[in-house]
Formats: sequence, structure tokens, C-alpha cells
Amino acid sequence: MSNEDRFERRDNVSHPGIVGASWWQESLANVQAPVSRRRAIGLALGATGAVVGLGVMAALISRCSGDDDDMRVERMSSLDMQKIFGWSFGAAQESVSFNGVSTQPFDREALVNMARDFAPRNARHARYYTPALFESPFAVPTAVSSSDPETIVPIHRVLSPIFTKEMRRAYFRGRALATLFEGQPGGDIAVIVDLNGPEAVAFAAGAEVACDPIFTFANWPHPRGVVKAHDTLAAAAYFQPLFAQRKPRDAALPLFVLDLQRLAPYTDDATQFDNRYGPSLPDARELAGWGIKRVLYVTASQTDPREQVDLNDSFVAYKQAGIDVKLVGADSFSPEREEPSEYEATLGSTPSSLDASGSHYFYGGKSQTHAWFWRDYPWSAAPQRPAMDPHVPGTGRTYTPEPFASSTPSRLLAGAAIGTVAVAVSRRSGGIMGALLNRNGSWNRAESSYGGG
Amino acid sequence: MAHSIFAMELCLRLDARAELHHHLRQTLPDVTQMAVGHKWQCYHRATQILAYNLQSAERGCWDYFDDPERAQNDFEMWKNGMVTAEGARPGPRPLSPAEPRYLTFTMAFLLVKDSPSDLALRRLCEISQEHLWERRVFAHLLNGFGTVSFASVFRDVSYVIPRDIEWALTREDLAHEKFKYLRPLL
Repeated sequence: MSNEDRFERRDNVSHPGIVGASWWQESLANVQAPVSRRRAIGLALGATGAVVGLGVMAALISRCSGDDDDMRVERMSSLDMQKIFGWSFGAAQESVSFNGVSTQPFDREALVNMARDFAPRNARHARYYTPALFESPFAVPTAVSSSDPETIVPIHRVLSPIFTKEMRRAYFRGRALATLFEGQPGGDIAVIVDLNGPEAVAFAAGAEVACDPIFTFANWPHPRGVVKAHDTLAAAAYFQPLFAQRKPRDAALPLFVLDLQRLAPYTDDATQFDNRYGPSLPDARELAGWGIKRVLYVTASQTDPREQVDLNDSFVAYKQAGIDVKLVGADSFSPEREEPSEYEATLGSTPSSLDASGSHYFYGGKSQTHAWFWRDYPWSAAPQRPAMDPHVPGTGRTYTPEPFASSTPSRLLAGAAIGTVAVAVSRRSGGIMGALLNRNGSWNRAESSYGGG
Repeated sequence: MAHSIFAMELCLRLDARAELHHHLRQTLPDVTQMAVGHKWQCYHRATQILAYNLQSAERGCWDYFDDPERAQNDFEMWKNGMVTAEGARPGPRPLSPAEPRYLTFTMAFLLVKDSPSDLALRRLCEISQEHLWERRVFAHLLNGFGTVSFASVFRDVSYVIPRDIEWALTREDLAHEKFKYLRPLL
């Protein structure tokens, strides 16, 4: 870094009421416009002193002391590092494995359309759609990390669709929820489903007949990912044909799809890759603008007492804005009888043929109790249909959001402690040398090379 | 040398533990020199925090002008907002759960006109009039700010009101004439 590339502080203010500073870069004081082509290219790449250019690096600063004279350690956005250096950044020689692989043939090349196929069909929902996970299969790295000399195999080549017993249940639970809205004016209800990634995808697939799924998966898979995003992606690959067929439906209920594992426990930089992230939900004003007066939060179990910590601020704000927030366990929807043999029968089925398997899930577990949902959640203006009380356990229908006493989303998210990876950065040039996923300390002093954008 | 200006100010409601204030303060390092890359990191961090906490933002303002004279004049105006401390409230008041309190984060940049960063910002700021004050537009701008290379930034200013949390702004403070430029976010 030359002195020419430094900012000098000009004004510095620090009073109880205000703190800040103004700066100037002397080297630009005498630059005559227009800038030269060479200079312009350098500026476009952010090459002058920036650690890495292209405007995608997120340097979430958490500097540690340098490991030696040549490098320092910084924390960077995990997703941005993966986008630059490849999905398995720091572990290029490793891959991911899949449990519950579907026997159904699938079109691997169609994975290139995932981001499009899983996009909401209602334009106003699109701004909350996060396509990151669905963009990962065909993403091309723009640089090579010296710690990953091996060629990184693109995800689309290793991905296998999965269809597990849990996904099957989640699919029918989503379908059962959707049937409740048949013939019901549900235009003022939004649904937020918060299940493990593969089940969340399957639930959304089941519910899509009445809902417009808005996926919020803001991470990529990684061989050592603390969030098993590859399973979520594999589940999405199974249901992709179903989502690809959807038509625009303005009247469909917004269904926000969250991966419960987004804030999975993370403890160790060396053995785990932090691909966690925070959810993206509309604020109360936005929801109100959509005409939403009720939010149904779907958790895994009837015994879940409340929302995940990172949703608390949003839910409390919803409540303060007069939006009624209720909770329901996905397991409130169950079949009249367990059908273990049918799972085996559906392993080789296509998503679109699942409904023909004869499985029927109901609120409370019986066809006679299904309509009782609207008594436990009295949000429907339609005449009540006769129904039996299933006495669903748990407190979901009486739940109301209250502020958490100690942990808040701002603490989790503004701290930016999540979704970052420790990387070695050259002190000499600022180039990224690689991820610190191993403790062997054998750094190749060659720096990253950058390919064409 | 001709310049353009990009500026943004957001007024956000404080959380109970003032974590947001703490994290934004950390993006203003107390140093006298800063490398281009470090400055990018600080602003990238700040814009990420603001984007993550946009649900707490109630008012805001942003500008982009590529008229060189206006850019110079407006930058001085934004800078004077700091050095004259015109935003600070008259005195401290302890935080109370019953009273909403606010902070503002302000940043302004004088860029080399027609530099790649300026051109990128110009494209980013092509927003039609009816959408200027929408929260999603602020999110769009904050998320797109990473394209700016500070090699093309001649001058910048950033500040947080308040420094000490007991001086956080109140609703009465924000109703004052001097804050009229902050528009309610839609």
C-alpha cells in the first residue's frame, strides 16, 4: 500500500451527541479528468489497495493478530468467499454426501434453472425471495485460492435429489394445510414455515396449491458446512419439476420458507464452515401493505413454545402493528393411520404423482377434526363446518410474540458473527491466500489469482 | 477534477440493548489514516448492518447528483451537519423502555465523476420518483454499495448521532425543523 492510496482524516468530532469524521484522499486532489483507461480499469476492479475487487468481497472485520510477518487473519463473508473461490472454499478436496437419494431419474441440466423455477409467482413477493442456494449448482468461481489447488467440481455434478421419510411427511402436512384454504378467504393470512431445510422445501411443495412459496435460503452448501445446505438443495432438486410447472397466481397466500438450521450451533473454525445466515422477512408495514392481518408460524412440533430467536424482533413488531401471530406445529397434521409401506412405494415416484399415493393428512389426524383448525385459529369469516375437537396439545393457538429477555436479532445479526470464515490475507499485497479451515499452517505464499469476470 | 456525490442518512429506532448503536460506532475507527481497502471494509460493514436492521429504520434520506458544483456544495452541507453538531439533542436523558429512542447514521461521498464507481453508483441510483422513499430502495442501495471502490472516492464523511447512548434522539427531537429532510420510509 503506497501513501498515495490512503485517506487522511480532516475533521474529527466526538461529543456526547455526535461522533464522526471527514476524510480526503490526497492522491485524487490533482487528478485530471477524465481518468486514463488503465486507471479506470484499476478502479473498476478495486485493485488499488483493496483486498479483492469485483465489489463482492465482504470484509466483516474481526482482525486477529497476524500469524506471521507475511499474513494476517481476517473474517470474511462465507458466501462471498464461496462465490469468488468456489462452493467448497478451503476444502476443495472434499465433497458432500446425500442420504435418502431418490431412485427417480432426473434432469441434471435442469438445475441451471433452479433460481427461476423456485422464484415466487407473485411479483410483489419477489423482493423477499433469496435465490442464493438455487444459484449455487452452476456458479463459476472467479479466482483460485492457493489453499485449494485442486479443481473444484461444480455442485451440479455431485448433486443427487433426495426424498426422505421426513420430507414425505412434510409434503403431506403442507398439502393438508393448503386444503384448509380451499373455499376459505385467506387473503389476509401469511404463512411462515420454519423446518429443517429438506422438510421446509417439501412442506412448501405440498402447500403450493394454495400458497406462493418465498424461499429465503441465503447460503451455499459446503463440505464442512454447519448448515447442511446440500441436503436442502438436494430436496429442492427432487421437487424442481413440480415448482417449474407453477403458473402465476396473484391470489395465493405468501408462504415464507425458512431453514430451521440457519443458526445451527457453530463452534470451531478449523473443522466447520460457517454458512449460517439471518432470515429475510418483510416488516410489519410491508405486510400490512399486502393486506396481511394474520401470520401463521409453522414449527416442527406442537411442543415448540415459541419462535426462533432471530424472528423475535419481526414477530413482536408484527404484533405491535396489530398483526395477529399464531403458531402451529407441523405435526398437528397427521394421517389417520401410519403408512410405513407407502413410503417405500413413493421412493421412486415423481413429485407430481405423490398425491396419488392415497395418503391423507388432517389437522388433528382425522378427517372429522380437520375443519376444527378454524376453531382453534378463528381467522375465517366463512361459516364453520361441522368438526370434532381433536384436542391438539401445545400452546400454539394461544401463543403471542413477546420480546426475548436477552437475545435479539440485532445482537445476532448486527454483530455479523454469523456466516463468516477466517481467511489468511497477505500483508504485502492484500491478496487472499486461503481459508483457515486447517491448522497445519503450511501456507503457499503464492497469492490468489483472479480470472476474468 | 469534476465530482459527483452520493449521500445517505438513516434514522433507526434503538433496540433495548443498544446493540445496533454499538456496532455502528465500531465502523468509525479512531485513526488518522486509513488505507483504501480498510475504508471499503468499514463502509461495507456499516451498510450491511444498516441493511440487516432496515426494519428498525423509520426515516431516511439519500441523494445522488453528478452535477459537479452541486456535488461540492452538497458535500459541504453534509459535512457541516457533523462539524456544527446541529443534529445533537440539547442534553442527555436516560433510556426508558417506555420511550422510543433513535440514532442516525450519515455517510456522504465525493466521487471522481465518471469513474467506474461513479458510473456504478449512477446506475444503482436510477430510481423513479415515486419509489424514492421506499424501504426496499434503501435496501437496494445499501446492498449495492459494495461496488464502490474507494480508490475513486476523493472525500467522505460519516457520523453517528449520538456518541453516548443517553443522548439518543427522541421523537420530539426528530419533529424539529432541522430533521425535516428525513422522510418517513414507505
